[in-house]
Amino acid sequence: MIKKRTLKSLLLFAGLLFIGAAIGLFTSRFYSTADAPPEISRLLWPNPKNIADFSMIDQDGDRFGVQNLNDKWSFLFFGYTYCPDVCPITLTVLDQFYSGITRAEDREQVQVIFVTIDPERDTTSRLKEYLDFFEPEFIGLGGSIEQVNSLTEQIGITYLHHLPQADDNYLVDHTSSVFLLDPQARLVSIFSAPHTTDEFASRFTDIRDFLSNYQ
Amino acid sequence: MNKFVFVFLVLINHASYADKHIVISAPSIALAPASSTTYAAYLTIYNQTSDDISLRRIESTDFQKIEIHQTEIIEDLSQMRHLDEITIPANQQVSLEPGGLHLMLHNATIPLVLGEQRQLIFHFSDGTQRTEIFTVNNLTDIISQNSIKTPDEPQTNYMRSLKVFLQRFLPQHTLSGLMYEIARVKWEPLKNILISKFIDLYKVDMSIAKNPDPKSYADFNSFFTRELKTASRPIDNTKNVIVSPVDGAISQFGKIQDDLLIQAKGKNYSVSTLLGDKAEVADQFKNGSFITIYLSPKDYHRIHMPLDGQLNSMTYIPGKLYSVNKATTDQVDNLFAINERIVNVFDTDIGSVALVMVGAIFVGGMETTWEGEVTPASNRRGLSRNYDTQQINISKGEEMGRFNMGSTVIVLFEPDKIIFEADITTDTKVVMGQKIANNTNNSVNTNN
Repeated sequence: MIKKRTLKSLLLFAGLLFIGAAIGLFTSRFYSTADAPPEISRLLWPNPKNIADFSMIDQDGDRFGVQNLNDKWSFLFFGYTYCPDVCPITLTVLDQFYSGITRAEDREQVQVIFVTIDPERDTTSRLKEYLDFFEPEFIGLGGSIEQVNSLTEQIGITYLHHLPQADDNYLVDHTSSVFLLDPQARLVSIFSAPHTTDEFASRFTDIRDFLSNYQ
Repeated sequence: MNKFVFVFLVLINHASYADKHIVISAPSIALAPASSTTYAAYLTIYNQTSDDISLRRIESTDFQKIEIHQTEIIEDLSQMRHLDEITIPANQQVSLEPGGLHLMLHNATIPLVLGEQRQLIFHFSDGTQRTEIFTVNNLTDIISQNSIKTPDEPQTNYMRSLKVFLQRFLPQHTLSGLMYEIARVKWEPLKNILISKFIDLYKVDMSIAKNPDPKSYADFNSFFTRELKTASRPIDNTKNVIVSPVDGAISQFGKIQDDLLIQAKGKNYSVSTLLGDKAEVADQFKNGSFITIYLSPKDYHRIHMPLDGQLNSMTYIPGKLYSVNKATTDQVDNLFAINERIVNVFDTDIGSVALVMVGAIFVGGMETTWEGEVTPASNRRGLSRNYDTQQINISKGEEMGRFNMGSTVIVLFEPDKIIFEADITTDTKVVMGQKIANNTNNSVNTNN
């Protein structure tokens, strides 16, 4: 009787081992031949939009143009520092995504850029203080209205300044999406609000892996 | 550590107002750069009365003006709308959270510092005036309080997708059948190794088991479904309190939007499909409430009644056996409505309550106290039984069934019958017998 039970257990173990090995083999095969393009939502491919030169001023007072977009993946967000809800949330989520990239060499390939659509109030020093609060490594861009428009018009950003209230404060409606540019300054994807770190991380990884086959 | 302290404060704050008609939880002000004079504040307001109540006015000596705002994103354009008041419908809640409704605190008289507190006075339409203490918190903590997930390593995501993808090709029923056999092996050397490895791996606390000696269990399955000491799982016997039926982690909960329940963020599934396309049963739960609790392997695996009920029907719906862990529920559509499941409908003081036991890979079987082992079914054919003539009554806290391996329980309630506890959030751990909600008879009876 005991013999029969023992035999049954051994057979079951053998069965489990076999299945374990089969899964192992299957998995390793998968790793080596990951060539099928993943389904990536909102990938602007094969027709990405090339960004032409523009001229803006960063939070340190230096000129920032299209050449500064080369060789890095850029996440662009358009907002203003007096923005009460959406801008702090988006910058917080972008910072969670950015700080969540654990490998330093991966993180060095990514830059997050906050572009003000309220440059009259958002002076260079105000932008610097604002971004230092969220993530000092983020880039803040401002300048004159014309300089701001030299970039917003290319990407298709809408913004509407409201009339000032009694306390001179005013609100600005603005595009809430985040725009991803590849290292050749081409607009390759758009992330719509509400933003999540998961979405930034997973879609960015998918797009980067997919496009690396085309470089 | 900060987060812990924050949660702790929220709990204390909540407890102090638990006896009132209007409950405010998680009051927070988001920290802003030092030069800011305007701040956003977030909170959740629960109206436990049977009348609609509006929040009309908020004032504070620390701010010149406080307004109610709503962020709206229309055609990708983010806009701020100013509201005169917010109405909280009877027995419902309104959350002011990042990216939606919020309070705008204008012109702070003194700049705010992390961890500081400010008093805000709320005026409601029924004449109630309520002073609330708001704590200044990092926006990150407020967002995670509102259960937006923290970042995953891109690599991990890829691994997660792969693991889930692989499951599509696994012989789920064969593997689970194999596990079923192994879990019932009575040969001592093997079953003792399985049990002791399992205890080590999952750090199982045997001291709370009625039978604390791991070697005394006849097989792995009887260890897995072990009974606990009664004292270790006290049942909250307060009238009108609904208790957790299981030990586990809350994966989702809230309102059923028409026929749709949330499976994971961004993934919904239909009540009718979950309940096996029985319109007369599913219709009762449209716009009702639901809670989904995931039992992990180390948890206690018996299922008890969340409230007193009389069994009305039991339906066994055959199906797949995907894993029900977080990675899989985030990715496989309609997971709970694809997997094998048993739908138990009870008649209770608050109408019909459905308790759905969802099977999963390696769940060797599911049992109910009145039918014994329902799965694995030899023919994997469906089964539907009515018990309206049999008078099977089960009291709150009494056992109603068990999983012979970890899985998920979904409890459905009719519309406006319950209010979830304010401190229940997704990923919260719960134990069997713990209060998870009040039924709405409560607000009328106990608040006098």
